[in-house]
Amino acid sequence: MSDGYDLIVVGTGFASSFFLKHYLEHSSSGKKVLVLERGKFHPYVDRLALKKGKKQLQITKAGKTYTTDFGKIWVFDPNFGGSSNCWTGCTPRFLPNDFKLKTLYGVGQDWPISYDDLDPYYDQVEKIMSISGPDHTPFPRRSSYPLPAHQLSTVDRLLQEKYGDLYISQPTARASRAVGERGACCSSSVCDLCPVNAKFTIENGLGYLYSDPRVTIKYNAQVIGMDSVQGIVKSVTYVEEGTTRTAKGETIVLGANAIFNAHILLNSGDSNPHTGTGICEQVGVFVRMYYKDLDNLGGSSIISANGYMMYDGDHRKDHAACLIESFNTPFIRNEAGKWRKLSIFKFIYEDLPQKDNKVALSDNELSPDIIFNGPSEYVNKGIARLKQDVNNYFGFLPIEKLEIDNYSQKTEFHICSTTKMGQSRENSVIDENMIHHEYRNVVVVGSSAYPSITPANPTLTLSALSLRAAEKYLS
Amino acid sequence: MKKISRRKFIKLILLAVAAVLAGTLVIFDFNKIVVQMLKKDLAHLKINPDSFEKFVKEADDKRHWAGKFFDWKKKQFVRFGFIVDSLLPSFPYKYKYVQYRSDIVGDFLLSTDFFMNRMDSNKTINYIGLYNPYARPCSNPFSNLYYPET
Repeated sequence: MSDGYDLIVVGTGFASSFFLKHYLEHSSSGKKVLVLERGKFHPYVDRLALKKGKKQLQITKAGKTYTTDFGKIWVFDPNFGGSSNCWTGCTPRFLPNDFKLKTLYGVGQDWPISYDDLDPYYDQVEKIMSISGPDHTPFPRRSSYPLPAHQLSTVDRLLQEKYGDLYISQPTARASRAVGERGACCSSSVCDLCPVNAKFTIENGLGYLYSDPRVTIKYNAQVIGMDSVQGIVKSVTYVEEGTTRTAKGETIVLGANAIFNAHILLNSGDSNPHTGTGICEQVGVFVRMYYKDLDNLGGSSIISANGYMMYDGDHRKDHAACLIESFNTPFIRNEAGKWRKLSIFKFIYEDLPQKDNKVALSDNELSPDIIFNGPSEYVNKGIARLKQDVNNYFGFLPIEKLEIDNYSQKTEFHICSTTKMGQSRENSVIDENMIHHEYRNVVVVGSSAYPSITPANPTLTLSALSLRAAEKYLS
Repeated sequence: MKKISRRKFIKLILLAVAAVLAGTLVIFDFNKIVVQMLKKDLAHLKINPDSFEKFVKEADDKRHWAGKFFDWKKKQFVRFGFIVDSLLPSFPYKYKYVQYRSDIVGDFLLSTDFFMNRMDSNKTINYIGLYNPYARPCSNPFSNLYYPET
């Protein structure tokens, strides 16, 4: 293009960056790419200096970017690298059955693609992120993880003995060995910003993309809408340092999070009734188990294991699947000589997107309004039977006392499902290749695409989807 | 002497308890409660006596509790819990209070040489500096680094 860009990418988080990686590797040197990042670039060294009290930084927080009257919070990092700046680095794959929830269990919505469709891209992302993981997993894999698994704790080992491949060392982007610019995870347990840079981030893993001579990146540039003619988007409108500007593009990739992908489409006049609806995330509940005579020692990394005993099965016809996380932060039991006769587990439930929970336009074109009336009954039914499930699956351990939180966490940090993918506009916003049903030159990437969210962490899957979307688009 | 009704008597008792609670809360700020809590819970250990004050001062100076999501509400809950716990066998959300109390005691112990000395209760415990994984990474005392292949 003479006066525009071949590609305009919105955002610099996982979804955008993995798309951009594939695009740059498979495009000619003459291409022009514009990246619009709403936030600033706060390098790792600056963020670390802030944590050490050696530097002052004003980092914009997610809560300043949207409005809501519904109490629930939605957490992300609206800056360069997106949520790679605050994620914990948990990277389980989804299970094959997660993609056909409606067919198998009669609830929610099927994905328009299968596990097998995504499998090769999972492999690629795991290599790029240098994932540490075990040899055996509840999901099929073609090859070994790039790095060895983290060590299980004494309690984890008992659970693995009992449940085999349904209880595994957590696959994670917290490197178990030093790799590239990254150090080895040493269980410091403050993963939002790893003190030894062990966690994969966009900056330490894909930051080089943004130095490519084909790429122009603008910071403090929030995209607020797109202009289209007969189903083709011609330009995007963005606000840069308070000034409204436009940029012309052949292809637009919306790689903001699930709030802002929907917001940009709504601001653009998207008439699809599903756009913005279904906002949800998983629901987590903490459980503490106090043991009579069992020390919980020797685990590595912040979360040492994942339990799949309550994840897949016919129970999903009735209530939500649950993934278990075994925590390994330096918590103690405040009783002499029993300092570590304690486990903390988090039980994480999938939610079903509901149309009344949604992203909506507000009076401020920069800031959407979020309407959220609570998670589905499907989740509540799962949580209601938590005590029974804990007794069933953990009852063989020497538990002296059990404490189940009677409330759920305010957030699981995984915003999903506002621009769902599907076969047609009757039930979705984008197609199986993540192209908008109406705007055929707009690719919408990220977890906003999820028709169902599963209890598993979404980042690995959304990154794999971006690689796949880029490949499909270019082909 | 005028006899007071049962209802009035209960009211007076409740008022007296409330007054004692309010008075105690005014007298004991969060830091004082933390010191008392540590002295009580760790009475079985030999701890260098100035360790407690050093801990609360450094925690205050470095806004440690705010960083641990110990907001104003949580602090008040801990203060209230500490006082009520010595008066009543149980109260609403006592289990949460006990968890927060464990967090506070754990943070203190992580700020000492207790875990470096492999939890040896015969050794005198010294304050070594507020636990901060950014100042002292890799110091989770229960991790594989300290218990390889347990």
